[in-house]
Amino acid sequence: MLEIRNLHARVGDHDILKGLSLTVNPGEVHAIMGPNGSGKSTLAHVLAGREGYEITEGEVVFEGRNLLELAPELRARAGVFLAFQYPVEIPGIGNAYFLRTAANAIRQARGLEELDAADFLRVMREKLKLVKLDEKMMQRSVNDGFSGGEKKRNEILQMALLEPKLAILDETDSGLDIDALKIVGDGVTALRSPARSFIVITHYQRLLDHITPDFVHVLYQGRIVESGDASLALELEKHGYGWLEKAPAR
Amino acid sequence: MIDPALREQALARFGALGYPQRGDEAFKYTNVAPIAERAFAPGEPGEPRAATLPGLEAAMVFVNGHLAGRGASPYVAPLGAPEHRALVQAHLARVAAFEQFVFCAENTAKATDGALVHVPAGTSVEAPLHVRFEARGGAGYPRLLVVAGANSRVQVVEHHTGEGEGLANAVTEIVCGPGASVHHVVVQDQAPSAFHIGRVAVRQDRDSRFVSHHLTFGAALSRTDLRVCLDGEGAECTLEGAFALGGTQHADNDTFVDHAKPGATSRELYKGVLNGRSHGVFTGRVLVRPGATQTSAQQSNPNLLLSKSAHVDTRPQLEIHNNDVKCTHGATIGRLDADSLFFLRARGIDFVEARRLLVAAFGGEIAERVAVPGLCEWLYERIAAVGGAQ
Repeated sequence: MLEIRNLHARVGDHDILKGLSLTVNPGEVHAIMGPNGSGKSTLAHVLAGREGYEITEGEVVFEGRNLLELAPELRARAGVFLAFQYPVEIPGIGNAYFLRTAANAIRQARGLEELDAADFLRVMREKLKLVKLDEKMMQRSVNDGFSGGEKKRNEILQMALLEPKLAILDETDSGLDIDALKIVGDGVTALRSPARSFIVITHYQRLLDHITPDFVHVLYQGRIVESGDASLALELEKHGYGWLEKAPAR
Repeated sequence: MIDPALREQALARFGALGYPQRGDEAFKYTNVAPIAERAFAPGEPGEPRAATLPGLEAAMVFVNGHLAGRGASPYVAPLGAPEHRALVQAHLARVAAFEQFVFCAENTAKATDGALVHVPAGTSVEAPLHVRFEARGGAGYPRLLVVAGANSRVQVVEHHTGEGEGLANAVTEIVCGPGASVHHVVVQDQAPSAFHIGRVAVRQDRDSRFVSHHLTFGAALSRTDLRVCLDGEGAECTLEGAFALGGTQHADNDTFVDHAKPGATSRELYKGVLNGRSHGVFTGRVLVRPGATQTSAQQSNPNLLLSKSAHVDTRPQLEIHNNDVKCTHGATIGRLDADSLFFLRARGIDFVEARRLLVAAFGGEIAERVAVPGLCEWLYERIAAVGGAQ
């Protein structure tokens, strides 16, 4: 589904990703862990198409297409979803209206009929249960005045509505209390399917208590330096990232 | 309609003043030479044919300033109606003094017909009163007088629209009696190559409330002056506007709030959205006179530029002549937030639609507060459309 080969990315004259390779097959959940500054969020942004990154080497192929050539909205329509670490607040755009506009843009790209307001409301109510958000919040502006946890749950709600093939969760656990963490984790688990893959980017192991990954990768200085199964996350939790400095990247 | 002696005076002033030249501070950013060069002949009368704004019924329609149709509202009469002669004489050309203002002098000298909105004391008019002015080429001089009696309540919606290249030089005078509440809406939606000059002059008596919504969409070149004199204690005004421009449009909004009496409040919010190579101008002058203690004045003019070539000049001008006042002002010129734009695009919404949504989010509140069902949505879409243009 996703093939990242020898990816190099920089911001200004600062090299951040230095030869990252990763293969994600349908249905797999990959956790990417690593200390601050290792390039985790850059990877997420580069995959989603945020401006400001220069790709100097390597390629990203998503279902046979060169992902890096596509505008962000075309990546989303192709089935790539990024759950933001810092979801933006947009006063003046109603949440429900935003969600319907997004859902219909994706549906249109998939050759499905657009949902009218009533149909959409039914679908949205169903998905709201998954993330335990109050319907009243949908009448407010996008993320406007939402707590940190509510914003992250709103991200998972968007993921549920847009039904991506590949979901990238960028530190979705940051700023969450235990209850919100469970809701987010359960929400993601409910969305797991043989056709849907996840890249879960996280600093800590705790989200992985709720989302059991098939693979865990350690990102350090812009490269994956260690890969393993779910047990690797527990090792990291126990030993921290300090050992990476002693054993320089391969 | 207009007293012949007054017309003579106005014509003399028009001649003496001449059109604003380069170096005229009040027209610092707006060059009206294209209007002077064209020397428009008076526009002909004609049949109405413009569409009525959503949610409204026209009480009176003018074509090139000539009365062309009227509805059934008992509150709207031709300015020349004999039964209202005394009322018109008492106010016409007194609220909008023309001595210093050449376009106002020209209108007073040349206006052919006009509308009078008269609301007796204590009367609340439920449905908005709507007057449409169609421009069809040539020069027209729309004229409107609103006299709201003590403790009356009314909403007046003025629509300027039309076809072709012509000049509308409009003057509106509004008298708010003691305790009266007047909500005045102007939708300037002239044809793309037209010229529009507008002056709205308001006098407020004590404890009156005046709300203005001024929406600028049309004309190649427009200039609107809104002057409010808070001439009674405890008077309140809220002046809100949006200018949504594209192409090579130029729109100049000049506002002046005169705090003449104590304890009055003014709030002002004008939002500009500019695309293409358009140019917007906002001037917000607030005068607090020596006796106008306990004045509260707020002013804000945020602007959103959607293209590199769009341009806005904004100038707050506060003249405060006593110490017992609360005044704030702020003007900003910004661009679309890159994070918000990326967020929307990352959800599959294309660039143009994302921009349209963000423009609506920025300017839509002005449309919503017009408070006429049907019209609000239409205005909202018009503002958003500037963001939705390729």
